[in-house]
Amino acid sequence: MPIHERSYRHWEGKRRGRLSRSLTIARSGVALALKKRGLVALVLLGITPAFIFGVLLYQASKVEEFMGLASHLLWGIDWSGLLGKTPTTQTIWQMLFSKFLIVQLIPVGIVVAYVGPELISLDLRVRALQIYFSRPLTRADYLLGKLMVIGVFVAMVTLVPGVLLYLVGVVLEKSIHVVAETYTVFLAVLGAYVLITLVAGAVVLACSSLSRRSGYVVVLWVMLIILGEVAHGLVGDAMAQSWSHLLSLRANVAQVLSRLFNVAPEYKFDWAASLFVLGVVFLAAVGVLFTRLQSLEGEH
Amino acid sequence: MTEPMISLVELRKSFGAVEALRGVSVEVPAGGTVGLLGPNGAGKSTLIRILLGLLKPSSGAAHVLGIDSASNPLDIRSRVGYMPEDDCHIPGLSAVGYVAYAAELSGLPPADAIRRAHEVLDYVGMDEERYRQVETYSSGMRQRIKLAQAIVHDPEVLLLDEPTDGMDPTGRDDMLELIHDIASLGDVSVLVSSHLLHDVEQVCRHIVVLGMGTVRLAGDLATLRLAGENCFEVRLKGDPSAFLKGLARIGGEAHPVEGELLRVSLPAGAGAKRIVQLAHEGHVQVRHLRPALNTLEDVFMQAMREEGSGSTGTERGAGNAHP
Repeated sequence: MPIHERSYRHWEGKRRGRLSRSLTIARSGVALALKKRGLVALVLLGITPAFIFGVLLYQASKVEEFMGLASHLLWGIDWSGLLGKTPTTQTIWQMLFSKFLIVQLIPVGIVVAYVGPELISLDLRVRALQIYFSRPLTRADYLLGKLMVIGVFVAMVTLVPGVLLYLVGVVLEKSIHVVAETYTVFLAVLGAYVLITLVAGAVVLACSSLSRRSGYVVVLWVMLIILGEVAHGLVGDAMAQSWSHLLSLRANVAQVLSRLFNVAPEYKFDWAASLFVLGVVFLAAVGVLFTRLQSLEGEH
Repeated sequence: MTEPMISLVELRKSFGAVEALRGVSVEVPAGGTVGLLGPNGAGKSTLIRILLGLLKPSSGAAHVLGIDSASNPLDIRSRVGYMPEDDCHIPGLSAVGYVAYAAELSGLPPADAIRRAHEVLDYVGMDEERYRQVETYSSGMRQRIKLAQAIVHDPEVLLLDEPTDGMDPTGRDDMLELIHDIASLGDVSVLVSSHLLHDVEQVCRHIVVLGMGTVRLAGDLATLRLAGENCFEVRLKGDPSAFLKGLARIGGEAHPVEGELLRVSLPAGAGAKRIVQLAHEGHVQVRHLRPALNTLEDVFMQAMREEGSGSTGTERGAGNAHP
């Protein structure tokens, strides 16, 4: 019979840096989220628009056919500026990718509603904060880890299909020179991903920190989105105010994305106002998060 | 020179108008086990949160292993293991996953974290159950898991908050044995916060008693248990009536303790020789005679009574728990 040593033993080794602790939280959060029934199906459903845009990219390599098909499929794109002249690949891609990411804001909202609410509220419910904050971990490390979880799932419906679409476009163009022409589109996709992650992540985490019941957090998140849209519609239609989109989180992101991709803006009002609103929302959410965590740390 | 495990200097903490800690000063040496006692609202939890750097003191200073808890909380937390009183866990994880996760949060590389998790789960007596999800465990098993996550990163100081809470007698004995074993290593200092005096008495060499935000009593437990130089445990053979009359005549008292054992209090200045003399005069034999020891309950109750009588926290040994 083997003898198994069970006495207390010391550990000798080198500890890893602070970032690794945030990554640990993120990895665990992603693994736990993936255990949720239906999440993978939801993500797959969320990236289906990418296939339509893939077809458009294919058509974009044949510009004349593309113009005809796109005007049928992408209702709402202002092609007037392009009439009478042959658009460059960069121009077409800017419009395609900006439209793609604006369309993806809907799956982002749904996926974030599915993954985000539990990230902090569950820790509150099972009193796990004292496990985190009795360790060499700051509030910022903890929040960064949780934000990374949101970032992973936002990437699945924005960045990953966006980058894949870009690569498909490069392959279809059959020329590496297209990269030199369109690298700004690639950077804009990255920028859009960062913007969406920061705004959606901070807001949903702030909501999550407010309640131990993730059901309430889902309702709060959905209400924020829907009320914004309703207010945008009411003020825009009934009062004919050009700034009405500032009331909607989605519309503000769409407006900034238009600027990021250098295409015609979604709304008339200056995009800088939308960026300002998003900045205020982000800072307010971060403020709520740090204040809540500080008070909760003391409680536990 | 080894830094003290805990050093508190005029530590105060207020929550609005409520003063949770009112000028606590105490120094606890490193090594060994210290019991933190006190009734509800005495300030124990507030003190532990300050030691972990989760709360900043209103004034004064708290040091753990010489590190200021207000300015360097992360340094402290990397050297301290904390077992919370609350039932807390990360849902969806097995015990191994949970303890390894705790290790990684303390900075251990993933491979070391999983190996170390198995080691400490072996140590706390978790066998095949370690692969089950934590939510499915009994409260006793959860206590073991909480201890495992507290020691997984090999801390120099362990803060254990009600470590035997919710455990059956066997589990409680096991837990106390584990605490005793860890403390006996010599290089891990343990602070046990508990309302179970029996548990503290079993594993702690020193105690700190808090009451109404002040230190009511602190010091080496063996010393504190001495009932006083004029108090003895005595067992006599024969009729003790004459002995008791003689004792009363000189101003002493005797109370039965257990069986024929008496606790004898003599007036100031009288010693053990006086007892032998009284026994001789009363024609009884002294079969047992030693300085009387208080139980921890006696010590605790006395400290609390002194609190009730308006004492300000300068009791025996207060302010210093050196052995």
